[in-house]
Amino acid sequence: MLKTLIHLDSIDGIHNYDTILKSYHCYNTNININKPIRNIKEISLKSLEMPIFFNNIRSPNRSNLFNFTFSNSALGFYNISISVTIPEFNYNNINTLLSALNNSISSAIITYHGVTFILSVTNTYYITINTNCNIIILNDSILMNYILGFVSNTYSIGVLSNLIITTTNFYCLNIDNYIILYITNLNSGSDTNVNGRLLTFKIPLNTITGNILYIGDSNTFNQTISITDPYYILSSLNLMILDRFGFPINGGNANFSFTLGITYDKQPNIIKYK
Amino acid sequence: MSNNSSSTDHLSNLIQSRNTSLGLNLPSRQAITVPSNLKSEVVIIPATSQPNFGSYFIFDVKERNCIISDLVLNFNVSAIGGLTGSVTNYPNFSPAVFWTTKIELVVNNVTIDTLYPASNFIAQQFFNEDEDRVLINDAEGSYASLAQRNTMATTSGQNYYVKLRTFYNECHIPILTDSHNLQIRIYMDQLANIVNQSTLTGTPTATINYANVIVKVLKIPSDVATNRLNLMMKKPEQNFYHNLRYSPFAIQSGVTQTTVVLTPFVGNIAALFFVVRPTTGLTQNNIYQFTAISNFAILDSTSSNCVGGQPIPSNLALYYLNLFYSKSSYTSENATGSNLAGTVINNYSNVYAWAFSSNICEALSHGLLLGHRKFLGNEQLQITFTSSLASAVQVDVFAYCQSVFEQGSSYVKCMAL
Repeated sequence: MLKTLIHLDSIDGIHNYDTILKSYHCYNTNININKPIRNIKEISLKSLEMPIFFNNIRSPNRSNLFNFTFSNSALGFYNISISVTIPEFNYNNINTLLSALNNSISSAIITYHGVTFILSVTNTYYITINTNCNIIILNDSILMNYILGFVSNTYSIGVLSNLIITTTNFYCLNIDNYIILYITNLNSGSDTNVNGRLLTFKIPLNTITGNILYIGDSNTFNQTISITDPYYILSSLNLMILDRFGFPINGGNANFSFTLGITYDKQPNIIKYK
Repeated sequence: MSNNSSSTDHLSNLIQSRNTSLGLNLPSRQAITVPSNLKSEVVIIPATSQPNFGSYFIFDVKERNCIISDLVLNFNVSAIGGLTGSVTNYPNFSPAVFWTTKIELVVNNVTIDTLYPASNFIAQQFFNEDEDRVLINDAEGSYASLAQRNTMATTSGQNYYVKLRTFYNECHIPILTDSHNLQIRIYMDQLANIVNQSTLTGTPTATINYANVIVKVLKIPSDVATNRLNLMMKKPEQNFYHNLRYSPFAIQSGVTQTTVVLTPFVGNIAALFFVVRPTTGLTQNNIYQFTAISNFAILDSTSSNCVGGQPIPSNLALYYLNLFYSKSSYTSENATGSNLAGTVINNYSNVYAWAFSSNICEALSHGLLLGHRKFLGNEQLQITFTSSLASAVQVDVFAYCQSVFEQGSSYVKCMAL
């Protein structure tokens, strides 16, 4: 077995057209390798340097979406579906986030005169919805479930008193614990995939927006995948950086670099046949 | 259909010797000895893990004492929701063959073959006759009918079936032990990439209720299976098959001609297929709309033309060469082609091929080695476009490479020839 290192920089790649974000950016890039490597057995992530700048509330993963259905029988409104989005931003204060959300919701329900729906912080870590509706259905979304901490469900109360819904989980503004480096053209990177997520290497985020992330290979966290396709030739790498939910992140021109360790066999897996 | 028997079969019996080995005086063609309890079955196997769009899931085929001869994927999906407005024939799903980004066929943790959506689609259209294509396309949502796909996409719990062309079609590999188990890894595309919503507003929603792989198998009697396994312990079995290789090449705008070095293609190549699409048109209904070119050539390492001596014009490739490389009239469905009724239906079927095999359809059907060219990784594909490219394009090249599948009692191995 032979080992080699290849150093890659997204600045050397050709940006692919991201069909979901409808743009070209460095988090969806194809990098050609001048000397193709054959008979690869294993690939390891040795190091990575990446500027971190993306928002915690983003539209690609719909973490800016708040979606619910309400009924207010006293006012004559039944099963009204409301879907609002808030601006993409790095919300590092819960009150700023709730303010943006309340503004969007109040604009969306303005045509339903008399209906109130207000989110606020309770007991430091919990969020409460205070509304005069008698039935509220909260729908699944990253914002609803993971950031604010609500459990999607149908909530109801009698007509004469206000309905108060309080989260059962803490709110969490920093949900990007890690991001995903997914190399789409490896056969096969699936050895490390879990729960069906498209994941080749896991990049823990131990820094916040505005800093540069550096991770290096360590004895306690070594990431290696095996290549199970004997025909695989590493002539290019098609890279995608995804968030932990598997959605793309718009990388703009914030290029990143990383080093892969390649273990390969010198002997080609070819037989002679007459 | 293609399995009609010839009306002149009986004439050959006049001069053929007869066979009495089964205790009956039979014509030779009927004297086939098969075990009496051989059973041809179709097995429906559910996914091992939950299928979702934008993620991957697996099927574990653990049938024992059988020979797989065909594989079909089945997706049961909800109707498309989340969209408002009204547009005729929308929303619809892209044909289900394009719902994946790749499919890996893995035996004993060795990836034997990897299939890609465009290669699956081309195989479906090229290697099936027109009558069969109607059924295959209708089962997955026909690329030629938005109306049919709209009906399917607005029906809750609709089943889609994707017929795969795999090495199991070429060589009849038995599953006799755990070491022969097949795992199929399905990498699903994002929902946004496969839903066509035209001017409907909103974000589409749909879920995969469940997925199955439908496996056509021949059940082997246990005594026959044991005997074959014993023989396999002494001497592993080998089968020829064609391994699919794939590489995309990005071409920037502003060029009229491009030459890509076919670095990833090394070995005995039986046939090359390629398609051109704008880089902004690799999803939704654009995914099966291939751009026409002016001509192409394959060059060797000295940049000498090694196919035809001259560049091959588009129409020659689509209307004449594909006569030999395809069983269907699929490549007539473009801007200049017409069907039997004389109607021009442009389905952008501009798929170009060059076979080094004398009969690529036969070779891929039965795992036969009928000719090849040994590629060293420095051959080039030269493409002349119809005009200077207004926007960047992606050239997807697929090659069938002659390979050997070796199966012992406790291992499998694949090797290139």
